[in-house]
Amino acid sequence: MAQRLMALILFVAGCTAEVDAPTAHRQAQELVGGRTLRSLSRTELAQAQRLEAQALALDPELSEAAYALAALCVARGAYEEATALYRELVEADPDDARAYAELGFSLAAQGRYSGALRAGQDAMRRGEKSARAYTRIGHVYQALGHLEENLRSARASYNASLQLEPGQAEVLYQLARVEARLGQGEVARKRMEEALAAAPEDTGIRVDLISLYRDESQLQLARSTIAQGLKLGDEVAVLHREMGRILWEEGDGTRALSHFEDALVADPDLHQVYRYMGLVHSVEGRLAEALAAFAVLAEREPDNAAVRVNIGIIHSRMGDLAAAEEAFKMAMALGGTEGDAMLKLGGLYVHQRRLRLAARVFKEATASFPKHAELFASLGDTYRLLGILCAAQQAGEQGVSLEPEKALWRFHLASTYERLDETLAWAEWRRYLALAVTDSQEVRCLDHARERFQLLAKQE
Amino acid sequence: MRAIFKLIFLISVVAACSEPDLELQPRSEEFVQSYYSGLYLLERFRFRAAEHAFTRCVRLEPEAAEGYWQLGRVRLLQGRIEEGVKLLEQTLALDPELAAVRELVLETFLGRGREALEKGRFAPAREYFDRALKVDPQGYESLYWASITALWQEEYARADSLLHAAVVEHAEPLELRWHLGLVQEVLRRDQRSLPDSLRFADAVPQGQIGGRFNEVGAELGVDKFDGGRASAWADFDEDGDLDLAVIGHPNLAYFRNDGERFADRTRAAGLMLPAGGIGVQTADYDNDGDADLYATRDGWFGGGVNVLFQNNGRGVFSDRTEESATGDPGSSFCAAWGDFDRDSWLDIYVANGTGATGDSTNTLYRNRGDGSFVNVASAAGVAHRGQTLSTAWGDFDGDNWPDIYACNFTEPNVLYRNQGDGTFADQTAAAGVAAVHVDGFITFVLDYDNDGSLDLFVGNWSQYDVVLADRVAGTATSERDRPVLYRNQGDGTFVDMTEAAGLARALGTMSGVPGDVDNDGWVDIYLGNGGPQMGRRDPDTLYRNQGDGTFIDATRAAGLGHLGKSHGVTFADYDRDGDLDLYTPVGGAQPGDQWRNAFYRSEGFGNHYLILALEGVKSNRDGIGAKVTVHSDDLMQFAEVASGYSFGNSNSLELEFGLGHRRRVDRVEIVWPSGQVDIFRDIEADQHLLLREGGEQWPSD
Repeated sequence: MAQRLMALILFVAGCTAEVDAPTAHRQAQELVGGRTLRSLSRTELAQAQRLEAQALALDPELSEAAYALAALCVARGAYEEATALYRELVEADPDDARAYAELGFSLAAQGRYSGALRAGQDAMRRGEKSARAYTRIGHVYQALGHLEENLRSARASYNASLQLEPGQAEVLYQLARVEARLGQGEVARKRMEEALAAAPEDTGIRVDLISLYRDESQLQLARSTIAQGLKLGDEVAVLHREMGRILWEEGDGTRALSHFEDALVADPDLHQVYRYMGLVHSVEGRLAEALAAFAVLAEREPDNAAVRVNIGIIHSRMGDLAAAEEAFKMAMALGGTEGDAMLKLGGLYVHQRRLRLAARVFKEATASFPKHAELFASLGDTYRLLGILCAAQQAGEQGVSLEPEKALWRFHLASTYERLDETLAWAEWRRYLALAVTDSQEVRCLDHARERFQLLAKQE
Repeated sequence: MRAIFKLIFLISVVAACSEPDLELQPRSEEFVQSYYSGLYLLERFRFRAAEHAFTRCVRLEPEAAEGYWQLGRVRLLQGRIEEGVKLLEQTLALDPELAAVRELVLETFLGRGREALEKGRFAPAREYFDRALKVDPQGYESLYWASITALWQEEYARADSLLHAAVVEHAEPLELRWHLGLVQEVLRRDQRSLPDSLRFADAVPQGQIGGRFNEVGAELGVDKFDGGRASAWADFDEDGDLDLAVIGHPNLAYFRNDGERFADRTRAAGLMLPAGGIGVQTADYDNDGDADLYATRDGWFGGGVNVLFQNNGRGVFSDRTEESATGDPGSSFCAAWGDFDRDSWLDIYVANGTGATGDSTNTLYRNRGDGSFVNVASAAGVAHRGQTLSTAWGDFDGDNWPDIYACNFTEPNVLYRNQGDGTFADQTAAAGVAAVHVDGFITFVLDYDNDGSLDLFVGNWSQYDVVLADRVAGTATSERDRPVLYRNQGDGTFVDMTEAAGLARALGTMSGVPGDVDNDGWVDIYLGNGGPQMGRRDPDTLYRNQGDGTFIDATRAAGLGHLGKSHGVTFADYDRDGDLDLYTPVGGAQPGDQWRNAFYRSEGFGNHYLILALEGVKSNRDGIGAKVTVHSDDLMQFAEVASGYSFGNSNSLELEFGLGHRRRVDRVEIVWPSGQVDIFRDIEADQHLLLREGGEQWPSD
């Protein structure tokens, strides 16, 4: 990267030997004219970049030209090139806090967080302790938040930023996200509310606040927050989508659809809305409409594996099993959806009584997703149907161990035990019944389970 | 005219320069707007909105590489790695010249691989590094991390082949050669079979020692597997042998010595501490005759306030943190027990360092004698705010008032002289022990030259590359990266003897203890080394005191040199055979950097010994702070009873004196914290004795 930049700088220098460095730099600054860099046209950006490169080629010590050139690289998203320049600046003056700070920023934008963290800390050690510096380092800690200690450091950094400059909506928002990840739901909500109060036009904050309200089942607050946003009229598409989701969760499919349609009118690129529309149609039995909605999403997002699963499910419900099989396979080819595509394909094979094929799919799936309880339970049940009982027992027990509270897995396992050991079966039916009585999805299986449990109890 | 020239110039540059083609492709205004908006959002970590913006770019102009590039970048930042990589590959298909994108793909594989490695998910880590090797087969990072992963997976043949390739491609980094050498040892190959161009040229002189240690952690049932941090020895259950308390992340464990093995009695002892901690220090704070425990916890990783466990007798404990008011919420690393006001009740000085969650002001808890403590650090003048990682008590100026030494990482250390009136004075400069030129990590006291006054050791934590460079040089290559051995001149002032003592070499020291390993009458030093990097594997070091003011590295000869991340190492004679055994808690900073704690049993060195346990009567019951001088023929040794130093660990409170070939001790003189002086005469060697304040003498086992 540095070589490419140097080549450009040398080339430009060769082209422009008669303009001196300060002049070239001044010309670039005049071209920018104090405007925000991203308000410049792409051609203007390129011109400014060439002038700064020229200035730098003529006078490599002209650090202001290097900073300006790096900023132009950042403006057009060439963070790697900016990084190379900032590194040069750091090497030229190891005490330059600003160079470290900007280096950290450009690295973070590339997702190179460890380097960004080091650079940010180096900047702070050299006195760069502004609110912006704390915010940026907070971002980096947040990005490294797979370790809880980093989330705590992110919290501390954002708080430090807010101490220096209270009321920053952006920082309050990021702090709220960190609190949520630390499991501090109430604090997160408060910070998010403060963030939105400071920036009511920010739909991103609004949507995340709505999400927090939904997590806390505060649907009324969620609705009113959406309604306020709709009144403000900014990014209404996202808000319509959120309103649609709430209505759908409340069972009002018709009004949900209406909001989803409004969302698409406002922003045709909000593709995920098609998925929600498809789900609403699917739940309400309008399979053709559901298929159409999913098909639009599949067309817009050809790499989206999840929607292929949705399409497969609709095809299978419509009785077109070949199309369903194709859709599930397509989903798997696209990288799958954490095992769900394989689960559905295996289920389809079971439905078609192609049990060996089903077992093969489930077996492969369990190897890829060893924490997916339903895959193990399904594999166990398929082995049971095939009469391979030891393997059925092993898979079934694995499924139950992964999700001990899920009644259905115990139902499958009890059915397997029935053919192996009546004592084990009786005990498993008992555990199943204890869980199933409060599980509305198990209503249809309860009678059978009770019957078997009582019969085995008598035999005991 | 000039304007026209400028225009011509710009047009010619635009036409001629190949690099900026990307940005000068004609793009619609809508695309540009969305693109810049996406960049702005990306920089503010508003990934969802940025994703939306770049998705729009891709839809508007499917042939524009930069749309895919930035969308791919957003997906990566969102953690949707495979989608991100796929988009970057699409970018490269549209513009194969975009080297930055290729680098990003490589970095992604390396970054995800390292993350998986740090989490201990070695198989996915290997997959990522294999993909990185496909992108950059000769790259240092690809080869390095693939080989480190192979080491973690214990696939030594693969590690060997990767490291060979790496050293051939990258001759400079010492780490590759070092690891290649380690692999040869595991594969039982002679390192000399490696050509010079591949071999790590280790210049550290290796000394001899007259015996060996064997690792028996699993055999004894104490090979705890977690982020091991510290250990402490005491006869917690009062059955005559030493039991072991071990703290780490995530928990505290209590191993009862049952003779042949140790039994994990943590739960039964009431010592459950699920978040674990950093240090564990033992002392009889209530003077009731049994060993209590203080756990320092927050350190770097959090864990909670410090905890005081009171022994109710026979090794069953109660949490007395609240009643005692010792629940320091600071970022505590080490604590040390000492009776600073000589009221016979043990006080605690807590080193609060540079942690993520708590305060970093040191505390001094004065024991009020009724089970409660009060923090008097400010009034006493020892409330250092900074980066204290380690501390130790010792009467450096011989006035019988215990002084404090605080070891501060990246800051000058501090010596607080006890003025005898409840306050301390900073005597660092006068004593000459600031150690401003090193990054001190641990400290402990010892009398290494047997002159009857307490010397000081400061262990330095150094970066891996410096440690290896020093191994090659055989000495310190950087003034900042070395430990310090301060010799007490007898009046509380010190001189730096590190170089003369042969200790001026960088190590990644994270803990250490003094102990006369070979019982020759000269105290040796064991240092636990390591660092938080997953690739770091530097051995612990045993420095044998040669009795002439110098030390020699006897690690190999003694069968020691654990390669993990050793913290809180301790010596104790657990099997009562008269020689010191070594316990090593081992654990790194990452969830995947976990090791089994190691226990090295000494197989004996053929020398005589005398092991003394003290019991205060007017003084604190443990005799902490008591100064013991042992005279045997031409040999004079000196030690102080101490608990809590280094990385928050406690050797057994017994004092072990090696006697070499000498079979008798002529005289033992004890100066108790109360001021009483007891003298015991004409003692047979090779026994464990309990010496009570006032002159009583009993067998202690």
